[in-house]
Amino acid sequence: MTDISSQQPVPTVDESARGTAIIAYILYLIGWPTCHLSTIVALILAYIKRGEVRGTIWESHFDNIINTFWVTLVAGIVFGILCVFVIGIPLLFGLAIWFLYRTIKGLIRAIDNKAYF
Amino acid sequence: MSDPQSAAPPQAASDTRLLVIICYALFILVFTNGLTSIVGVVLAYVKRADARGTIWESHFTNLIHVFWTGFVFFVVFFSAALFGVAGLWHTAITDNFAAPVLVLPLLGAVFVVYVVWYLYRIVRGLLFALENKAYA
Repeated sequence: MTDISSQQPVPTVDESARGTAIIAYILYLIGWPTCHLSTIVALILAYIKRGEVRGTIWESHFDNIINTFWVTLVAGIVFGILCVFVIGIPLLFGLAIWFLYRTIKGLIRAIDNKAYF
Repeated sequence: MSDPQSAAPPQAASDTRLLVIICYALFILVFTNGLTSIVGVVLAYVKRADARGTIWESHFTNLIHVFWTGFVFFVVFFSAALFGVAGLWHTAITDNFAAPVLVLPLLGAVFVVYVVWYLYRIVRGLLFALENKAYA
């Protein structure tokens, strides 16, 4: 184990992609205290890194990060408008839980070296 | 110029790399205090001369470009915002709708686009620097 790592000090694409995916998920989780700036950083990371990992399990993680962002943004705007009618409030609450579900599930699966499904 | 660098390349290169990464970190931290990008751009100006001809020159050029673009953006942004607030004030005291108010929501959208562009340049540069590549 230590021999292999000392022979190859340069991280492989997989290790680098895993680290990026985990950082991106953590940036999603700290989105609220940072006024969602960290969410934008994670989205940029995902777009840049996705091209390098085509065909690997990490592509599914970056797809998940990107899709989660856009679905949450569009649904958040629609549900925000629906708050004029009371129905938007529980929908926004559900959206937040869905966002956390996708992010935490992805984070756990990235830590376990598995693809996001 | 190239001789002293080739005499001691690893040390000089890793120092410059660390400095570039610190500059990018300062540019990200600016969101918490509004000042650290000034420190970052001063560092970039001072160190760019030492890094001429290396891959790190492109990073310092990127940092300087982002700083001055941001500087111009904020001068224009606050002038326009002042214009919009003046329109809001006029609307409030005369009860007639003043068109400059419309500038304010437009500025909000422009601000979001600007922040995304800023973060894109900085995060992409930081990734290149971490991978020992020139900013492209």
